[in-house]
Amino acid sequence: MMLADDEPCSDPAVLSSPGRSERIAISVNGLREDVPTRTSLMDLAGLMSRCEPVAVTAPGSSAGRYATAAGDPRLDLDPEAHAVAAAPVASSAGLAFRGLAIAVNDTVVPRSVWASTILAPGDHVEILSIAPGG
Amino acid sequence: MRSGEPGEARAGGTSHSDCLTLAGRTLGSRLIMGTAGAPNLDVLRDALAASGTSVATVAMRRVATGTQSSVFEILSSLGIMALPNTAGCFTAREAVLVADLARDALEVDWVKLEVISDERTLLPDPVELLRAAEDLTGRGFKVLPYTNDDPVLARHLEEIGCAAVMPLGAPIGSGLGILNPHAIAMIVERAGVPVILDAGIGSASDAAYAMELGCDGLLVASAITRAQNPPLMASAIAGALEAGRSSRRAGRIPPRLHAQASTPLEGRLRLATGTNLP
Repeated sequence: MMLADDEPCSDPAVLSSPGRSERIAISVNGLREDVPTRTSLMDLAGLMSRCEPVAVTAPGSSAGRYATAAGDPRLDLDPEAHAVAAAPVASSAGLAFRGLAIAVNDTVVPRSVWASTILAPGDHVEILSIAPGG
Repeated sequence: MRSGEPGEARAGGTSHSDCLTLAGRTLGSRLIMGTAGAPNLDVLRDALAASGTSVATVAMRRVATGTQSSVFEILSSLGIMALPNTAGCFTAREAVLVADLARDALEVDWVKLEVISDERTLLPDPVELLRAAEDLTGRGFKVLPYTNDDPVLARHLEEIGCAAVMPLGAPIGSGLGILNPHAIAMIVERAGVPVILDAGIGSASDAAYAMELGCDGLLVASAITRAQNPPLMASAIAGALEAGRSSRRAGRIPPRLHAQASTPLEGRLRLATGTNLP
């Protein structure tokens, strides 16, 4: 995935700790998230549809807003598990993740290539869904 | 009042043959509802059902787990088409990106295009609006643009291929009704696409008036969702819309400066004494 030259999230530091895969720093909906390398947009979409929101602990901290069901405050994706068995965001229509859309670095990424779109350090991701409006 | 299925004509209402066709699609109702502003989703659902609408606008917002998907589920369960809008966009670039995201999210190529100039007035920015509309119509979107009550801008939007024009009656959420009925009448007179009054409706009488001015439909949000009894107001506005439409089609009498008796003078009794003639 291409990098934005003026991307404000300019810290591509890769966190590593014993026993964990390498991580890259990206921005998801305005918050910094450290995700495993080789995370795809499909992984991200699946995770967003499963997560419960948690309070942001401190501005600029690396703890993201989203927690997995296990309660770990970071997006903790298994980079090997590309087939994400997540419930669709909305109902009967049969289209997976209907109502959800993703832009990376100000460009829409069609859902047909979410699984094959791998995030790069510094990527700015916006994940939007249908909300009351108008 | 018991509401019927979404889009069905009510008892005593207009016939099924007088339907609005928008971007090639025949709609069951001339009322489009906005979904923002209701106190909770249950009230929204009841109001949508009472309105009889077949199209409702939705926004695209950053996802958070919880109720975001419920709006879409409510619309699906009521058989109402979700029309994505670009609410909250201030530039053409933002609006075009949101429209592209909405197209991927919903697999529809309709978009209610809003490009706002500032947060206080919420008036459309004509320059950015035209820019966005031209981009989107050129890439196959069916664009329904929220615009001001300027007949010249409305004509430009139609010329670049918008599927309708949606002039405001008054600023969004103001409930001031139709501030410039002459301008709306001029837009109606010159438009070759449907004219959907969008923004400023405050009450049922505003809705009837807009239809009597010749609008083809209405988009109503705050007047319903922020009313004290949204489902009742939805029903009232739907009824007023039909009444206004029928009134327009019935061909009203022209306003007159002087009186015109409805009962002829011929055949009146004559008094035996005195006179009853003027």
